[in-house]
Formats: sequence, structure tokens, C-alpha cells
Amino acid sequence: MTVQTAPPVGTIAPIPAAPGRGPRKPRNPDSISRTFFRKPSVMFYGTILILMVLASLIGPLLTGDPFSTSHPRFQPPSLEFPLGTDNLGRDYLARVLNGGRVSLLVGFSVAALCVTVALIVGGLAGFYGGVLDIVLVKVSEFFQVIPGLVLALVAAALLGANITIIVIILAVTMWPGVARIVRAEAMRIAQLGYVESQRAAGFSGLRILWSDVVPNALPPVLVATTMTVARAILAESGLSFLGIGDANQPSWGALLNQAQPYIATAWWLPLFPGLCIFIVVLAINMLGDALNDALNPSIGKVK
Amino acid sequence: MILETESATKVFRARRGSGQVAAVQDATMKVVPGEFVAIVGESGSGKSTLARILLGLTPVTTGSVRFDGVALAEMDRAQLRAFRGHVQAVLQDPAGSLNPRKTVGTAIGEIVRLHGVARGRDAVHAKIVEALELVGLAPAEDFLTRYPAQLSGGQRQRVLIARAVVLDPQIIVADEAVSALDASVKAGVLRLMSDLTERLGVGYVFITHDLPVVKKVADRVYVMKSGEIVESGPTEQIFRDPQHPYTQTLLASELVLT
Amino acid sequence: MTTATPTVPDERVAADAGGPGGSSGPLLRVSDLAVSLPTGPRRDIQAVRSVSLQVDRGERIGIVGESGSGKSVTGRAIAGLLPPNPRVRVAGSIRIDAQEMIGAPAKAWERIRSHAVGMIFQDPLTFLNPVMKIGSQVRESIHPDRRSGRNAGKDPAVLEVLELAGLTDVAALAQRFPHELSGGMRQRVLIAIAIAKRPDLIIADEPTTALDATVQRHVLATLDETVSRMDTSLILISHDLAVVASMTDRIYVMYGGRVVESGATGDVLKNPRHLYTQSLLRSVRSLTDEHTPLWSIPPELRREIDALVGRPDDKEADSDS
Repeated sequence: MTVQTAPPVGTIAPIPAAPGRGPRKPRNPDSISRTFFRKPSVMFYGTILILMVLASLIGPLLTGDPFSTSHPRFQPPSLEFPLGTDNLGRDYLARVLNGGRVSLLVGFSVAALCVTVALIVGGLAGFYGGVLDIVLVKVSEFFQVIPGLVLALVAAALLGANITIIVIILAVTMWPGVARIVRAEAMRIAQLGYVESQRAAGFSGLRILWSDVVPNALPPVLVATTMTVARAILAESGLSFLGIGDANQPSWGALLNQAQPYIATAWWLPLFPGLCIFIVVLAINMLGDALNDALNPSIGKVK
Repeated sequence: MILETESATKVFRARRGSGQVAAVQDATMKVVPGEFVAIVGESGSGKSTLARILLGLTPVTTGSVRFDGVALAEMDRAQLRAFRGHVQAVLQDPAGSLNPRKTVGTAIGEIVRLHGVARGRDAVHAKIVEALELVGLAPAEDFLTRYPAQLSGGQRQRVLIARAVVLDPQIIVADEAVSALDASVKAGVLRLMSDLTERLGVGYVFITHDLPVVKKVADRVYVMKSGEIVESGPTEQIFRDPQHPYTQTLLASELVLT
Repeated sequence: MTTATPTVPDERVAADAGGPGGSSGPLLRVSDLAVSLPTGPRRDIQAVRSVSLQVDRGERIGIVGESGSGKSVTGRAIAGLLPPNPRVRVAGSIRIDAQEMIGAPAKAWERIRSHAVGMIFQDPLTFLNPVMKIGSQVRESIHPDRRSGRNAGKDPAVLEVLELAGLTDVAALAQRFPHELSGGMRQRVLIAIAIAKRPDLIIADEPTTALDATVQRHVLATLDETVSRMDTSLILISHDLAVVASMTDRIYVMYGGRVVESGATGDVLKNPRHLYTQSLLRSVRSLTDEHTPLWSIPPELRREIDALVGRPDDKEADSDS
């Protein structure tokens, strides 16, 4: 050994952390939440979305029976019936709030399903590559080209139309889009130094995928997921509008459908469900945008 | 516990059509715990591939790589895991070798748990602190909760070394571990590495293109060019009396401050 | 231990009359440059605190410093290539050919960059357009307004410049894409692009750090020859003292956003006056000198240097020992 160490063995001079600071709670300087939650658009649209969700969850408990036809029909909005009554004399406020439950439930369920399947399929494909990748890509392509509408019609005809079927159908057609993003991220991350270091440390592939690759792949996936919520709500509304929906639990789209004959006469019947769809989808899209901005690396440092 | 390769060859299929690229050709080398061995070469010399072969990250096409007499290809899962406990890696940062979303404590702790070096929260914690102090990151408690982005280049390199050292390995394979560091930081990390050899008996396989560093810390040198080991021997001899023309060229290109 | 002051000979100070179009004054004069960069949603950092330097025509200077010293930012500020972010703040004075550049409109900077200042970056892969042929990219540098067109590879001006940069078989080379070239060749292409506009000043920021030792030697030799042949001024920025020492007449040592020492290269390296320069030299020599044990700057010395330079504790110091 040609090196003579200056201090005697056993006294390596320590590297101090910044002086004068006690132990801190770990704060990730990259943290999404720091930049995200402070944005004005997030606070605005986030509040709106939360209000809509709360209204849909709690509202139905507070209002009257959406099925009771005992009220006078075609009442425009008034103090007694804030959203009016419909063609069968049902309290429209109650119907819209219940409709919200359905629409939002469908939206979030589809997104949750999509993300789960996409993470698994995309993660495995992107990380392992090779034959597994080829096979999984073919599988996702197959699901991608299935025309959702046709599938929905067939499923409705064969199995009846209820919320579960619709959620499954929508998830089945929408997951490949998210999976593609997951796969791209997994492929990128699999090349990075820390994945190789983990392999050298002895961790198994699956463990690395779960603990290192997926968490770092999340940013674009999260954005895609918020978009999926919005698209699912719109798609479900479309399906309901065409008549493929659960008759017993009408979503906003179903309400729109039922309001068709009365557009000219009872303006409040199509307006409120339509407005709700619009507001929720807008809010989600805006939040998705803000999330995208927050997750992008900020200003280039010169070093 | 010797780590060695014998006639190791790694062939990659070239991307276009047929044709193969031998990244490493017929490499025979060995390293013993307590020794500081350097593999020197330029980009494309195959040194990084050889490093990965030694770590068992890349399988050899022909030839063998053995640890303590057992070929890696013949090890079962348990043996492989034990192998990884004995042979650790320090790969080059910058900013790429540490998961940006894991704290220093988590990154080191999970390795401790994986290999069962300590069990129970307190024991694991103690082990992490011990490793951090060993590499000169003190007070260790402060560093446990930091994310890589909150560390300087030299500190990140030390965390990588701490992660490697915490398992008390026999051999550490370091690939360009100090190349990206400034002069003073580089000197500090190198000194740490040789200190660890004295204190813990760790052996190094040090892969680099940086010749002056090699002269300073290595016991033996292997010189690689285009996938082959063209010359090897004790450091002093290689620098004093290089035989192979490529080694001579390399030595002549050194830019040294007079 | 006194802090070194820049050793600017008296005649140069007197000659800076500030009038336009003079080959009497220095080509570049930077006074009290300060640059602040954003590092987070609400945080800024003083990358450069106060830097003054000057370059005469045909002169070669080096800027040496560790990461975080502000040397790269200084180079970019001189070339007007700081990120176009409103939170980036520049103060002080940068006079190129007696024209004040700070606060100058974008057009003025474009004009300067198109014929007065050329920049060579560290990483050719990021700087070169991967989908554009080499010839086209060089041509873009010569004629920024002309659409690239087909015949860039046959343009004699392009071929000439590629040869000047030490490349061979230039006709074939001009038809290739960046990824088909080796690292050294790519770097030479960057040199070609920089000299294509016959600039008065070339700023090279870590031009050989990413290269192997043998290639580094050749590329530096190319840069040396090219700069001599065209009588261009050169600012060579690097953390590698050996690189800077081999090619420059004068040297500025930077630490913590400031110039801590400057002077003729040989002088500074033989008789460093500032504590940081001395420490740096000691560390560098310990890496190569057989008989000196490895030495890095210990924390207490770091703190002393920080105090000398007047660096507040806004950023955690890269402690190295």
C-alpha cells in the first residue's frame, strides 16, 4: 500500500452536517405536496371537487327520497325544490345528488382499476423486457383496440346493465393507455444507477420493481390517472345517454338521457346534471394539469 | 475468499443484424480481501462489463467467475445471496446511484434487513449509525433522514460506501467511484477507502480511467483495451516499466500538474 | 494570510476608455458580476457573488474552481446563456468590446453570440441535435438565418471549419449524425461550431471532463492549435488544475462565488497566496505525488476559508475530509 494516512487509524475526521440544526422530520425537498398544494388553481379546483364529492356522499342522506313521485311534476327550481322536480314529480336535487354518487363512483373505480392493472402489466413489461414485454404489449394492444361502445352494448345485452359491469367494461378499455406510460417509465428507470445498485445489493427483481421502480414512475402515472377519472365519467355519461346504464341508479348521464324530451320545456332537467358533469370534469382536468406542472423538475440549475 | 475470473468472455449481440461484440475477451484476474486492485482502461475497454461480471450482474458467455472457489453460475439462491453479502458494489454517482425518494436511513436499513445482519428496529438503527460514522458522516442521526438531493457529491459517495460497508463485505467493486468528484473531495474519499482496507480488511476492485489515482492507492493493476487485459502486475512495476505499447500510451497521456 | 487581489497591470486600467470599437481596451471586462439563481419555489441562491475579470485580445485565461464555485455560471453569464427565467438575476457589468451587456436587449446578445463569443459546453450529447447531421449543425452556426437545406455537407465553409477543428475525412463526417461519432470527435465538432463564426472570444466550459485521458490530450491540443491559429481569446473553465495549467496565460481561482486569487498561471501555481488556492494545490498534489499522503481539506479549514471569503451558511458546504 503506497498510501500513508495522516491521522492514526481509527480517527477519520467526521463530516459535520450543517451546524446548529437539531434532528428534523424527513422532508423530501422534491416533495410534490409542497409545490402542488400551494398553487392557487389547486386550492380553487380542489375545493370544488371536494365539495362535489362531499355533496354526493352526504347529500343523499339529507335530502328526500329520489324515487318518491309524490310531488307536483315539472316544478322549476324554487325554495321548496332547489333543483325543481322532474317529469314524474321526483325531487330533482335528490336525484342529481344520487346521480353524483354513481358518476363519481364509476369515475374513481375505473381509475383505480386502471392504475392497478396498468402498474402490474406496464411495470413487468418495462422492467423485465424481453419476451415478457412482447407478450404483455400484445395483450394491451388487444384490449386497446376493442371498441368500448360495442363491448358495452354486447355486455349490456348479455349481462344486463348495472354499475359493476359498466365499471369493468370501462376499465378494460382504458387501462392500456396508462399501462403504456408505466411501461415507458419502468424502462427508463430500469437503466438508472440505483436499480443496478439494488441488484448488486442482492434484492430480487420483483422487490426492486415494487420498492424502487414504481414509486419513481408515479409522477406521469398520477397525472394520467386523474385524466382517467375524468374520461371515465364522461364515457359513462355517454353510455348512459345512449341508454346503457343502470336504470335503478341513474348517473348524471342517465339523467341527461331522461331529460332529452324535455329540453325545451323543463330547462332545469338537462341543465343541472350537465353542469355537474362539466364542473367535475373541468376540476379534475385542472388538477391534473397542476399536478403535471408540480411534478416537472423546476427551473434548470446551471450546474 | 478470493474473487476471480478465468478466461471470462462476454459477447453481446450487436444491434443491427448479425455480428457480435465481445465486450470482454478472455479475462483472467483475481482479487483477495485486503488488496486494492485497479482495472484501468478507457471507454469501450470493457472494464465496466468486467466489473459487472465480477458482481454477478452480467452472466459470462464463456469462462467462469468464482468466489471462494464456487462458480457464480452454479450457486443456488441462498449461496448467491450470501455472495452478495460478501461482495458489494459502489457505482458511480452522480445523482444516479441513490434512489431520490429514499432517505439515507431507509436505503441503508433495507440492505441490513435483507441480509439479516441485524434484526429489530434498534439493532438495525445501530448498524446504520455505525456504518455512517465509519465513512465519516457524523452526526449520523442527522444524515439518516436526508434525501439524496440534500447531500453534496462527496456526501452521496460516502453514503454509497456506507451502504456497501454495512454488511462487512470481503470485497467492494467500485466503478468510477471518484471520477466525478472535485480534487479535495476525491482525495478524501480515496483516503476513506484505503482506511477501510486497513481497518476492516476489505479488498477493492477499483475500476477507473484515472491513472494518477491508481498510482496512489492500488497494489495491483490490470490494464484493459478493447475487452482484453493487455497487461497486469504490481502498481509500481506497471508505472515504472510498462511493457505493452497501450500501457505506455496511457501513461504518456497523463496530464499532471508540475 | 492576506487575500490576493487581482493583479491587473496599470496600463490596462488606464486604457479602458469605454469608447466603442476600440482594440485598445480589453476584449472582455467583467466587473462585480453577481448572479442569483432559483433553486426551488421560493428559494434562490447566490451562485456568483462578486466576480471581476478581464480578457485581452488573443489572451488565454483559465477559471478554476470546484463544483459550486460559480465558475460555470460566470461563463454562461458572459455568453448570455443563463436560463431564460425571470427569477434569474444578474447584476454588475459585463463589457464585451466596450459594449455593456447587462440589461442589453436579447437582440444585442444574439449579435454578440453570432460573431463575438462562441461557447463550448461540457457534454456534446446534450448540445448537439441528435436528429440533425453534423454538416447542418455547423452550417447553422455560420448562417443562423438560412434554412439548413440539403447541401450543408458540401458547403466549403463548413468543411473548412471542421478541418480547422482537427477532424479528418470531413466530407464524410458532415453527413453523419452525432451518435455515430466518438466522444472526442463530438467535442471537436463543438469546437468547430464555436469557431465557425470566427468569434473574438471562446468560452470553453469543462470541454474535456467527459473524455478519456488520451482523447483529452488530443482535444486540448486541437483547441490549443485552433485558438492560436485564429488568434482568438480563450476562457477555459475547469475544475481540473492540470488542464487549465497547460493552456492558459493567466488564471482566476474561484470559490464560493468569488474570485479569491488571480495572476499569471505559473505564478499562482508556484506561489499561491490565498488560503484556498494553497489548500487546493496541496490536495491536488497529494493525489499525484508519490511521497505525499492523500490530503483533503478538513472541515475546520473549510470553515476558515468560508469565513475568509465571507460565505454565509446558506448552503451546506461540501465537506470533504
